[in-house]
Amino acid sequence: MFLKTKHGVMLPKDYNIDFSVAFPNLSEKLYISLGKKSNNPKITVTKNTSLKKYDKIAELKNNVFIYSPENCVFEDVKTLTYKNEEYSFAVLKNIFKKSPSFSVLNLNALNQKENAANYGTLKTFFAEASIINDYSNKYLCDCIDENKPFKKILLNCSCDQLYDISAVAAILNFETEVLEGLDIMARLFNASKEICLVKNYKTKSVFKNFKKEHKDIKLIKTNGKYPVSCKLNEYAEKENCIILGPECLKAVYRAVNFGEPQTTKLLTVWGNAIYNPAFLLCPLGTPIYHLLNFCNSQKQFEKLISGNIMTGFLTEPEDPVTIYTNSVIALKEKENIIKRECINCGKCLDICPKSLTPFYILKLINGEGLTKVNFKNCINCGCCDYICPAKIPLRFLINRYNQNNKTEIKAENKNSKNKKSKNENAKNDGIKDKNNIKDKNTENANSKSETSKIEISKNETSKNKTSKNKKEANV
Amino acid sequence: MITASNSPFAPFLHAKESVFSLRFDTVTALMPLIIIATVQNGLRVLVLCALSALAAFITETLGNFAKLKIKPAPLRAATLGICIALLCPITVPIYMPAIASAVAVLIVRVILPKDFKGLFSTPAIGWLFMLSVWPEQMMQFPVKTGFFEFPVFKNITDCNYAWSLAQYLQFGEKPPQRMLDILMGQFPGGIGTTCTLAIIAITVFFIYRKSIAWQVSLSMMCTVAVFGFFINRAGVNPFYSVVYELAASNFIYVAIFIAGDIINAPKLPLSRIFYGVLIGVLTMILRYYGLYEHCVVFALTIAGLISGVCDNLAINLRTLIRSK
Repeated sequence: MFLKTKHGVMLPKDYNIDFSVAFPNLSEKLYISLGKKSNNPKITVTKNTSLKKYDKIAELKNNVFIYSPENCVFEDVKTLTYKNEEYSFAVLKNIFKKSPSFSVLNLNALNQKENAANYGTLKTFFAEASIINDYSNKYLCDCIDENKPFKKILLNCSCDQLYDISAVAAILNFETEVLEGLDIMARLFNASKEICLVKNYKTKSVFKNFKKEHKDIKLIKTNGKYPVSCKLNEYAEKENCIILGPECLKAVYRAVNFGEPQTTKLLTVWGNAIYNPAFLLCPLGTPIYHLLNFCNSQKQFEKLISGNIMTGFLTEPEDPVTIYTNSVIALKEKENIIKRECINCGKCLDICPKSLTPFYILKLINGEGLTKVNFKNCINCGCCDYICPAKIPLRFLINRYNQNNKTEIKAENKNSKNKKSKNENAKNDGIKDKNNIKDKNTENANSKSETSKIEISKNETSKNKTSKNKKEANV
Repeated sequence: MITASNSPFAPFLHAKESVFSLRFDTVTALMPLIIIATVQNGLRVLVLCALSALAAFITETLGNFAKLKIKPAPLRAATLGICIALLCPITVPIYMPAIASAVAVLIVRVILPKDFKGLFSTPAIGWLFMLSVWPEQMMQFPVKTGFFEFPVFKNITDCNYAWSLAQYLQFGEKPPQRMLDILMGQFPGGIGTTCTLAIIAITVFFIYRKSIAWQVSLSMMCTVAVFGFFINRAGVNPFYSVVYELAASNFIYVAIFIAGDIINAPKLPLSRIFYGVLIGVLTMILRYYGLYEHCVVFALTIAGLISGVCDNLAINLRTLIRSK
C-alpha cells in the first residue's frame, strides 16, 4: 500500500548520522516531569529518601505513575516554567549503585482471549507502566478510548523531518523488541498489524526484511513529503486504527515481559552545531546540556530546539528531557531571513495539507474585508510558514487567532451558559409563578365550582321545593 | 513584531525561495527574449527596456517615499519595465514605454488603496494606457525581414509596415506566415512577444521553478485553441487557425508573463482554471465581435476584477464538497 501526501513540503534531508543507539553517562541530577503544577501530582516519597530503580515517586491525575529511572535520592520538588506554563519537577540525585533485579508490574493474569476487550484493565496497566506513545507524545493510557475500540495497530516509523531519525533508528536498533511489542498489542486488543515507513535508502533493508520475515504485517509506504502524519491520521480515522511509535511498543514489550515501567526516552541530538550527532537512549529528566556535552556540541549555538524542527519549541540547556522531547536540535547560525510584505502569491494555499487558506489570516488581521475564517482544522504543521516567500510567521498568527477564538468561544459559551442558567432560573421562577398562578386558578376554579355547585344545589333545592309545592297543590 | 527570523516558534526551517528569488526568476526568464529581440532589432531594444525599467523604479521609489515607506524594490520595477517594453512594437518612440511604466506604477502601486491592488495587473494597465494614448504607434508593426538595425535613440519615421496576424484574422484573410515563421518569431508583433519557441522554453523553466500560475496560462490557451478550432476566422486548416489565434496580438506572451503572474492570478487551482477560461472566452468574444486588435488586455482587465470572486467561489465549492 502506498499513502501519497499530495500537498506538503519536501524538506531537505541529511543522513550524516550514525543510526546505532548510543547510551550517554548518567547525569548527576535528574529532573523528572510531574506534569502541570495546577494538576497537583501526588508525591509518594518524602525528602532525602533513597530510591531504587523503578520505585514510585508520584501519581498523576490520569493514574499514571512516575518512577525513578535510576538508583537515586529524592531531593525536592521544583517548579519550572516550561513551554510557557508552570510544571513541577522531581529533583533526583544519582547515587550510582548497581540496581537489583526487579519486577514492578504484573500482567501475568492476562488471559488474552478473556481480556482482549478489557480496555479498562489494560488502560490501568499502561498507566502503571507509565508508557508514552512517542507518535502523539501522550501517555498510552490516554490514547486508548474504551468507547472507540480499534481494529488495527499502525506502527509509525516515518521520519519526514530534518534532524529527526528517532523512529527509523528505533526500528533499526530494537527491531525484535518493537515487533514483539506490536505482536503483544495486536493480541491484547485483537487487532491486525500494520507498519508505515517512509521510503528512503535507510529503510530499504527494513522493508526487505519485513517482506520476507513478517508476512502477517501489512506495510504502508509513504512518499516522504512532510507532513506524513496528516495522511496517517486521516487513514487511522478511516480504518479505525491506533497509531503507535516504535519506542512505545518497545516499552510495552518490556512492561509485559519484564515488568519494567518506561523511564527512558529515545531521542536524536543533532543540528549543525553538533559535531557528533547521535541517536541516544537516556533516562527521562536528564538535563539537555548533559546530552549536548556527550555529543560534542559547539559552545555557541543560536537556537536550541526541543522536539522537531517544524513543530518544536525553543528550549534552554538546563531544561530536562520530557515525554515531548523526540529530538534536541542545536543550530549554529541564524537563518538569513528578510521579512517582506505579503505579495499575494498564494503558495501557502497550494501547500496546505488540510486545504485551508492561511493567506487569509493576514487579511483578517489587517481587516481587509474579512471578519471570520475557519482555521479549526489546522494541524500546526508549519508548511505555510516554511514555504512563504515573504517569510511571514503564518503558523504563529494562525495559532494566536485560534487561541483567541477559543477564549472568545469559551467566554461566549460561559456567557450563554450564564444566560441559559439565568433563563432557566427565570423559567423556573416563571414556572413557579405559573404554578402559583395555576394553583390560584385551580383554587379559584375550585371555589367557583364549589360556588357553582352550591348554586346548582340551591337551584336543585329550589326546583325540588317548587316540584314539592306543585305536588302538594295537585294533591 | 514577531518575524520569522526572531520567532521563538516553529518552524525553525524555511524554504530558500524568497520574494527576491521569485522576482529574479522573472527577470532571468525575460533575458532570453531581450537577447533575441536585440539580435533581431539592434540596441534600441535595450534602450527601451532600460528606460522603462528606470522609470518604473523611480516612480515606485518616489511613491514609497511619499507613503513613508523606504523599501526600494529594483527587481520588481525592472520586471514591470521590461514586461511593458517588450509588448511595444520596435518603432515606438523610446519615451513611450517609460511613461507607460511610470503611469502603471503610479496608478496601481501608489494611488490605488490596498484592497484594490490585487485586482489590476500592473503591466496590463501600462499596456492599456499606451493603447489608449498612442493607438497608432502601438498598432504599426514593421516588416520583419531577417535582421534589421533600427536607430538607437531616433524616432523611426521611414519604415515599411505590415499587417499583424490579428489584422489578417479580423478581415478573414489567411496570414502569409508559415508555421516555422511563427515558431521562430518572424511575424509582425511586439518586440519580445513574437519568439514563440523561446516563450515555450521559458514556460517550462517557470513551471519547474513554480514561479507562475500555469493553470491560468494553460486554460487560457486551451480555450482560445478550442475557439480557434471551431470558429475558423481565416478559413484555413483548423490546426493553422489555432496557431494563428494563439500567436495573434501577443497572446502567448500575455498568457505566460502577465496573466500567469502568481501575484494577480487567483490562488486556488480550480479558480485559476476558471479565471483562465474566462479570459480566453472574453478574448475570443472581443476578437469576434470587436474591432480592436489587442482584445486580450481588455479581457484580462475585466477578468482581473473578479479574480477574488473566483477564489471565494472555489473555496465555497471545496468546503461544500468536503462537508458532503
